[in-house]
Amino acid sequence: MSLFLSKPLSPLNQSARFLEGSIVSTAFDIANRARELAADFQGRRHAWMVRSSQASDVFGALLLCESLQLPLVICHTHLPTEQVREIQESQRVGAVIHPHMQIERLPETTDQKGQESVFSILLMTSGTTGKPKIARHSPLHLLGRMRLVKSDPPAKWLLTYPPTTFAGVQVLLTAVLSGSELICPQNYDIFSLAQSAEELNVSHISGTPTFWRSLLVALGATSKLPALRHVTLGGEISDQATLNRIRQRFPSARIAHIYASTEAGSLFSVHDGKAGFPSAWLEEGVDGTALSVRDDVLWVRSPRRMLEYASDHEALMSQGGWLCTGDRVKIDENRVYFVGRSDQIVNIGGSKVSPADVEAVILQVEGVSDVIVRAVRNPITGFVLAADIVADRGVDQNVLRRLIVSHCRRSLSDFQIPRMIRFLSASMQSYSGKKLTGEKT
Amino acid sequence: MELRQLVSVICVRVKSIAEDKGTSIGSVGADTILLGGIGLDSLDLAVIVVELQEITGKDPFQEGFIEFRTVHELAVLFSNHDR
Repeated sequence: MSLFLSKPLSPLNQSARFLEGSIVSTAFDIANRARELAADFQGRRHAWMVRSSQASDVFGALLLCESLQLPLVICHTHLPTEQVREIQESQRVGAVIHPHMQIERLPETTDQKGQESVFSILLMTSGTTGKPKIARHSPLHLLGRMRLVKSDPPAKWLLTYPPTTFAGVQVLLTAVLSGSELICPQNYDIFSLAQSAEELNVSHISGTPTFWRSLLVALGATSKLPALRHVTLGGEISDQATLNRIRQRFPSARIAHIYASTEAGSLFSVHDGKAGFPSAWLEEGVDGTALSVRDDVLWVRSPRRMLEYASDHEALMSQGGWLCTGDRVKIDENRVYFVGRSDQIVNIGGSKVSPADVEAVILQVEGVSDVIVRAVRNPITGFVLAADIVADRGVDQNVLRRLIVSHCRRSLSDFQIPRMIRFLSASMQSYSGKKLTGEKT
Repeated sequence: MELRQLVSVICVRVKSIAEDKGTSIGSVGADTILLGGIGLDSLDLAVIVVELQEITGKDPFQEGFIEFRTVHELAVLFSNHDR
């Protein structure tokens, strides 16, 4: 399989451009740099890691590892150094690509000699504290649903996902393979994204439903983003009200909601403007993927799923290659609707969080006697986490609150931090019952 | 709850969230744009909406998401809505 390099970049791909702040680079420039680096590292047998929040670095790393035919670990940039080191050891990483394609060589281990020489792409799942799950993908699978067609007029994509995520890599490769311009914000807060969308006349945006609802709040009152032609939603449940609001605001855009995950890969997209998907797909399959509902949970068998977990995790997979998505569905009048999760995981703005993991972090704070973290439903982000705290006797709650907030900021990602912190008396806590982490309705 | 009171509740909450984050946002009023670069993110806004639901006992979002931009527009949603 050749992605880009072994069959030199086509004129179409070469013209793709990355806009990162004031820096503009073409796919052609990045490919040249990757080619130079590849020449320096011929013969070395180890995995690579890219640790940069810049899309051009992730793209350069993909080209480099394709050329060397070695595995590439795409690392989330918010992971603590200690955890990154562990991953480097377990995945036998011999070199790290930092921002602006700066290379850090790691000491070689004897194990590396026997390492298999295959280009694979290792992507981390979002959310949950502790050891991240790492899904190994073949490049062929990642490119499975992409089309090598230049859009006319040329497309301008706005990257709303960090380029180190499964969704970010999908957008980045889609933009490059269609010879488009990719606008990579230097800041992913909604205000900056809305500004970029308005000022740079973007034509294509893929984001979570939370992103889209927030964009509608953040955009100028009359702004309709006249250049916007393609709207894609994914990563969370796309409900009818959100789809309708987007349709009203951007009447001429094509709207699709996609179903994908880091493990299952890109599965299918729905273009009829309606929430859910046709139940006929359960019988017929869609885009090469077979779908089945078992005990109200969606299982998928897709040619584009990951090869395996490269980390020490076990996928819920049955014989014949069926993967459990953990997404609960209901069938109503020939339509399948997503209704939530079957496990204790909460989807917050497209990132998966385990309340139990967050509880463990809060329990590390001195003065916390007990804690229940639960998901509270809301119309903007789907869910937000609330922590009900039982404080040790005699502890000042205001002081403890500040300690909890600062400890969470140090230990957790933004979306994992409980935004609502409340104190319960010990008697209320026993009344409420431990580990009632279900959503509040 | 009256519109004026709701505006004031939202302003106080916006300021306290900013204080918790250690950011200073200056004056907040009815015309302040909630996600207009004052340091509030989508999750902060979600918390304000949940709290307004609790305070007023109303849920203007029962049928799904509705657009609003400013403190005043959010307050209006909670003051006019009939269950």
